[in-house]
This record gives sequence, C-alpha cells and structure tokens, in this order.
Amino acid sequence: MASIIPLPDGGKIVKTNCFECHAKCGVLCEVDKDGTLVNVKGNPEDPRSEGRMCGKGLSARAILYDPDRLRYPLRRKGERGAGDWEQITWDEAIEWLAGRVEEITAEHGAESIAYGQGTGRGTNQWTGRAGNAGGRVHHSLSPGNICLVPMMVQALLQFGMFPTFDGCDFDNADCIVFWGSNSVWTEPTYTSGQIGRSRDRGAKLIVIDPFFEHPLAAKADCFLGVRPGSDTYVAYAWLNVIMNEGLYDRAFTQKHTNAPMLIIEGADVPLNEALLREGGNPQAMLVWDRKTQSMVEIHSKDIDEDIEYRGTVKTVDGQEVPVKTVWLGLKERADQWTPEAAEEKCWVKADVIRESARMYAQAPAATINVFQGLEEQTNCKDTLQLVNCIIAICGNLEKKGGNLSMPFWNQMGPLTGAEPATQRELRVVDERASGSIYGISNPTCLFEAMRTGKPYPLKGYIMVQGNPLSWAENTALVKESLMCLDLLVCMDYYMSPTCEIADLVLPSTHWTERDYLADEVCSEWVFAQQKAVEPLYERKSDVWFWRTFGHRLNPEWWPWETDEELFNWQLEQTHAGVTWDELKEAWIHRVPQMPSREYEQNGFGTPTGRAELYSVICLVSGSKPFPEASEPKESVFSAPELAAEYPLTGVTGRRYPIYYHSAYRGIPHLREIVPEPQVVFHTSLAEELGIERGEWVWIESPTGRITMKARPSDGIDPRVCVIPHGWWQACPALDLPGYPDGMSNANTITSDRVYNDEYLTPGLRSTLCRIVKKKAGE
Amino acid sequence: MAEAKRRYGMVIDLDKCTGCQACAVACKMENNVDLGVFWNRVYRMGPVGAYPDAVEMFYFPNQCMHCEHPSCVEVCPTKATYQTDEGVVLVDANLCFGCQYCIWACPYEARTLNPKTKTVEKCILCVHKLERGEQPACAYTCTTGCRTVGDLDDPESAISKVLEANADRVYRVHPEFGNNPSVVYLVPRKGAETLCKSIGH
Repeated sequence: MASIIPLPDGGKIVKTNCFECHAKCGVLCEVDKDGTLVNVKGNPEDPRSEGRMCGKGLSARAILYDPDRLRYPLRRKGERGAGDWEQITWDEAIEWLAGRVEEITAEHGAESIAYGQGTGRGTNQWTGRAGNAGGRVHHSLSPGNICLVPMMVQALLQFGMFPTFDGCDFDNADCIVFWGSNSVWTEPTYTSGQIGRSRDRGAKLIVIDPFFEHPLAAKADCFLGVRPGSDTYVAYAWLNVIMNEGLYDRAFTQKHTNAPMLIIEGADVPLNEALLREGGNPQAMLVWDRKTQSMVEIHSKDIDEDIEYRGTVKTVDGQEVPVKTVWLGLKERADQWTPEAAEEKCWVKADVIRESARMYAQAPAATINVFQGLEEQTNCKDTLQLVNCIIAICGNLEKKGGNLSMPFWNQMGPLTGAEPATQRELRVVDERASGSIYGISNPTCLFEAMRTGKPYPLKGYIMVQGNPLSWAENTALVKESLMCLDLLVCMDYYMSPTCEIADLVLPSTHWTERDYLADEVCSEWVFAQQKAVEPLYERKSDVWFWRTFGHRLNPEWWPWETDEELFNWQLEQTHAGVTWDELKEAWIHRVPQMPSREYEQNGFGTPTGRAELYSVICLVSGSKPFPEASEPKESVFSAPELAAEYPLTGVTGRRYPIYYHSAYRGIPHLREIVPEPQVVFHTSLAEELGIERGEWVWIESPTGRITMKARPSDGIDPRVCVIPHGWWQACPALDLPGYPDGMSNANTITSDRVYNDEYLTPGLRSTLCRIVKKKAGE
Repeated sequence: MAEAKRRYGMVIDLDKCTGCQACAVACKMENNVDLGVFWNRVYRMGPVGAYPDAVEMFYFPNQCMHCEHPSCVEVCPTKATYQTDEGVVLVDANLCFGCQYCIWACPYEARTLNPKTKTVEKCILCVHKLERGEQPACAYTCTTGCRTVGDLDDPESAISKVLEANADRVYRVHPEFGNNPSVVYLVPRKGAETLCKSIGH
C-alpha cells in the first residue's frame, strides 16, 4: 500500500495525521518490526504543513506509551469520587451503559440525559448525532458555545460558507490580520510557514490582541492592544475609516453584498414585494435599480443597484414609508465610531486604528483570521458580524490572498442527523440568554438542572474527551452539579478531574492507535488518519464508542457494523469523491470545491444570494440583523460597581504551543518547558502591589479565587491580566504537583452570570478580577 | 577524488521564529536528551519598554554555535571536546569527566552537565542525520521555516543564499570573542531594534 512503506529491517513508515490540534498535520510514523512506534516526523507531502510539526505532535511516543494513560474500562465501585474502581470488559461497559440509559429514560424521559465532548477534532458530528439520536432534545453539553460555533455559524449566516479559519489564504495575502487569534501556536499546520514566507515577500501584518506577547505582535506592522471584548469598537472604527475614505471595493459591495438591499427606516426590516403590491412575494427583498429607476428583486441580473438610495414608498395599505439601503444603515452606525470615539472604549490609539484600517483595506488582497479572543465574549455575535462585514466590503471573499470557502464546513451538516422535533420546546435556557441562533440548552442551565431538577431533572451526562471541570465556567458549581448525577460517563486519555467523579471511565486511543478521517480544518483535503500501531491495552477510539453504543441503542440512527462502513458513509455524505479503502491507499485526497467559489455566477448561499452585511437569518431568528457596537455584559464600562472591586480585565485561555488545553502537563519533557501556571500582568501593577516575579499570588473574581505564579511583563496594558487555563495534572517524573479542586483552574473565577444572547457564550476572555498579594502562611 | 571540504552551519531567522519550542522538543525526541538537559531551547527576550508603542520582544533559539574557533575545545583537558573536519563541535562522552571548564569557557551558555551521566552535553547538529543527507531534527520540524542548514563554504548552498539575501540582518553573537560562530542569526526586521543588542548579555 502506497501509504505504508516497508523498511528493510521489517519495520514500516505509516503515513497518517496528527490530531493534537484541529488542523491535523501530515505525519510519517516509523514503526519497528515488533509494532512499536519509534519515531514521528512531519510528512513533506502535506501541502499545508510541508513536513513541519509542533512539539505536541512530536511527543507522540511519550504520549502513546505514557504509563499514566487510561488502559481499561473502569466502573465505579465505592462512593462517587472515592477512586474505587473495578476493571470491566468493553462488552460489559456497553451493556451496562445501555441498561442505565434505558432505565433513566423510562423513569425521567430521554430529555434527562445530556451528551457532550471537549474539543472534538473529528468527533463533533458523532457527538451531535448521539445527542440527536438520544431522544427528545439534544442539549449538546460541550464547549461549542465558546469554540467554533460562533465564528462558524455567524459566517455561514452571512456568507453561506466559513472562510475565516482554514480558509485564510496566508500564502497569497498582501496583508494578514490576526484578530483575537494566535494560530501560529494553535494551528501551525497552515499558518506559521506561510506567514514567514509571505512576510519575506513584503506582506503586511496586523495583530489585534490584548497581549503583546502574542508571538507576532512585535513583528507586526500594526499592533492594536485592544481591551478584551471591546473589538466591536475597533471594527466599527475600521468601517468608519474604510467607508468614509472610500477604501472599500465598490463593485463587489454593489454587486455581491446586500449593501443595496432596501430596509424600512426605523423598523430596520427589509422592504419586501408583498408590502408594495397585492400578491407580492413576502420573501422577495428589493433594491433600487438606477438603470430602470425602479425597485427590483435583489436576485435580478443586469441591474445597477444603488447602495446609497434613500426615499419613500407607498405600501399596499396606503402608508408612506421611508426606506434606505443596508449600506446607509450600516454607515449611520459606523459614523458614530470615529477612531477617536473608539479609542475611549477600546484603548487603542486613534492613529493606530486609522493606519491599520487603511493598511488592510488598501492591500490588493488581505486575509483576516479570527478565533476565540473574539468568540469567548458576551458580544461575540456583533464582533464576528462586523469582521465579516469588513471582509465583504473590501472584496476579500473568495479572492486569492483573501478569505476562501472550504468544502468541509458546508458538507458536515448531514452527519449529525436531524435534531429532535421537540428540540426548541425542551431545550433549557433562561433570562441570561435566549440562544436564539445556536438553539441548544445553555450549559449553565443544564448544570443547574442537575442540582435542582428544574425545569426538569437532568440525570445523565455521557461525554468523550470532555472535562467540564476544566472547560466550563464557574468550576466549583459545575462540580457540585456533576455530583448530583445518577450517570456520569467519560471517555478520555487520562483520569481527569471529571473522570474521577464518574460512574464509568473509558480509555481512549491516541491518534497513532486509531483509524479515522482527517477532514475538519484540513482546507481542501481529506486524509486517511490511519493507525500506525495496534491499540494498546483496551483502548478504543471515540468514534468507535459512539458508533457501537449508538448501534446498541438506536440501530436506525447507527446502522454501521464497522468503523469502515461509517467512514464510507461520511465520505459519501461529504461528497469527498473517494472511499475509505482508496483513501487509505493514497493517504491524501483533494476534495471537490463545494460550494462553488464562482460567486459571480452562483451567488452566495444566503437568503439574498449575496454576502450579507445585514443578516436576514439573524432577523428571523429573533436576533438583531445589524451588528451593534455592543459592550461585554460584565466589563469596566457595563458593570462599574463590580469593576470598582475587581478592576482588572482578565483574559483566560492564553495558549501554550506545547500543551493542548489541559492535556500533557504530565509529559515530563513538555512540563519542564512550562512547569507552572503563571499569571501575567503589568510591571507597574506588580510594583504597586509589592509583588515579585515568581511569587504565588491570588487571582480573585466575584466567582472565586485561584492561585498562580506572578509574572510581571511590560507587554500588557496595566488594566489587563492574562490567565492561562488547563492546570490540574501533576508530573510525577519531575516531582511537579497537580492542582486539585480547581485551585489553579482559570474557570474557577469565570462568570456564569452573563451570556451572549445568540450563541450562549460566556465572557471568558474578559473576566473582571484582581491580583492580590498573599499573606504570610497563605 | 577527495570531496571538497565543507563547513556546516545554520542560519536562524529571528524574524520568523514564533517561540513554539517545536525545535526543543524535536531535539529531545531525536537525541533522547535526558530530563533537565537542553541541547536547544527557545528563550523569550522581553517584552521590554513602554506599552503599547515602544515595547520590544523577540524569541531567541539558543544552542551550540559550532564556532570556527571554539573556546570549549581550547580549554578541554582531556580532548573530549573536539571539532570535526566539517566544523561540527562534538563531545566524546567516554573522554569527558565532567570538569565543566567548557561550560565556563563557552560564551553562549550552550552546554549542560548531565546530572545523571556527569558528562557535558550539547547540540551535535544531528551529525548522524547530516551524514545521511538529512536535516537536523530542529530544522526539519521548525514550524516557521526559520532554520536553514548547509555548507557555509559553498556559495551555491541554500544557507549561503539566505545569508547573501539578508546581508543587512546578519548577526553573529558575541563577535568580540572572535569565535566566529557557524550558527548565524538574522535579526528581526521589526520589534527588537534595541533589544537585539542584549543577545548574550
């Protein structure tokens, strides 16, 4: 087989893919004649990573053979959390679990079990399918609300595609923007090498981030040290400059965005044909055609749309109604945010905002990469919508060197299956946020339901690679909630804090010991992510678990008898144009581009057929169609009483290039590079508080307090601090401690009081907090 | 016919390095370097200065410089440290008895005493890979492509071309010692104008 190369000594090289991050670099695994993994290195045939590979992936041998990894299914024997386990077989585990699910369903209803995961890296669709197949509602008790869903869904709503992640064409861009993202550490696969090359040929670099220690900040032509969560003002000020200085792509804006779409002044709703004449189509939205001096349907061809039209129309019921274009509606908002006005709110100097806006808009082709700095905010919908507007009016969509659609994001939909008919009725949200777009339950409401049984009992929680005691806000309350469950099931690499209090713990295979498809975040390719070694002990892949467990309970949803059958179905549904066997032979396959990038012929996959500045689907979902210059719901401006006590804005979630979230603090050669959690705050604050570098300090918030080592830095605003996440695991080989009971867990201090209305996102990246010097003995 | 003499060297473009530590991990895995010993690691220099307009920062990957005139070779009493014909500085662990004079003499803090073996270790430029025509593990895996390895004496080699194209950014650490390192840095184009001068201090 071409993807497995025999070696003269009886060993082999196996072509596969790492999945220590989402982007999944191509890897060459060297396996000796006894089946032991002896070496891994990047595969130069991967057109994205070209042989490069990060420290996480390179540590495969250490992770695969780590003696602390889970090996066998374990069932709780003693008290919950007492650490008393019995080893059972997989057959027993699946049968027992199926029985428990049937009992709980009979007693409390199918809605009383939640399904979830951590970062999926390929399991998103199967966890989703488990939830949808599970019964009357899919709660999705996963961190989708803080990762991927806001940026993906908001882009799909506005563009019918998702071009701001693996669709950034760094290699051909004249200007590259990292906005709330550090992809050179988190997804180096398609970023790091490309950025360096592009800068060699003169591409400009803009970094918008609260932290100057972003690895590209010092090199950037413009660094915008934004107040966490205030990106809406930066974005509106960019629009202000771009619109008023005429730096936008006028032809693209007129022909391919919904800028010319007419809306009714005041109500901000689209003018439709039914309002103008009897029997008119209420779904036909209108533009003013200068050629015919008339209102025509927005999909009409050969028209000369006026993006600045303003006038009055007479509706069928005889009213005179003022109308204007979406462009004017957006511009009225942008006009309020001069760079000077924005500076007051976002703490970025007006001249830097102006210079960077011009740099982006004047580049022949420019690409913007966004990520969780924008997502993990209570105003994430507005920020992401604004960034999408900027990309669209500058004509950088589907342009070489701009932001490109990638097929997988449009093809993954059918894999999860349809949501239950009672989804809307039974999902659990409260006054904190309606989740108007995401449409799942608010995780914090589910944790509440576990504790209180309201609005109905939540008795079970089944997850793969999920550790809510690390990812979910307000950890102490999450733990209290999980302790109330009748059934808690975790599949993981390690005995995580959540596993410790589970009823059933299942051992998960490392990427070198499992077969799967690498398609998500793989740009235009799909790869056979085949196993290099046979699974050790009794480890199984997450996909195997969902399929096998699903098949036992709901064979109509999970008809596949083998993983290979499921892979073939996935490849068929995603129109990859290849079978599992063919893919395994070739290792890499280029996926046909769907949807077509020929927007001039085919338009965009939105209600108006155009890139939408004004989102029609947001409107009909009950959200606001225009982006607003919104403030995070708990910030120094919106919660001044809280801020008087907790004056710092804390960014949780700062990444390490050698760890993946909470994973791998136990791998000695990684832990010795970053041995301890360090909170970063400005040198002047350290002096003011009398805190020395390396001193353990308290970080306190209205939710809780944690301890980390102080690391004063010049590279941060004195009103901001940076708090890394994921610290729980010990490293016995280095005699370095773990951090039990959330004592150094960033989410111990994050707020569960406020959420983004549309995506149910908490403000993890703008947590009000304070640094406190420890007293003697603390 | 005898092969023309080579002088191996490495260029590290500090304008590209993002401090991801992949090189440090690749080295550990390739050479089975013990815990507590680093043949290669990346330091964050800075940030220093007034936020946000006058701050400087860069990442500095540090390792043996494989000097043309290595101080370590001069001071080694047992000749454990030596230089190959191709300019690579190596330590013969059988001859080293851990006196650490070399650690003292090296201006680049590139050497470590392995607490387990009581011998001194450092980067070997993956000579075993160079001999097979492969790149050192750090250069092969570098996520940014900031490392170029090759023959400094061959004007047609990739490394010579990188040096020629970036002549204005070439920096050899501690020129005052006259060691003439074969690991040559290209200083960042931006963001470290004054800070760069601190390398080695």
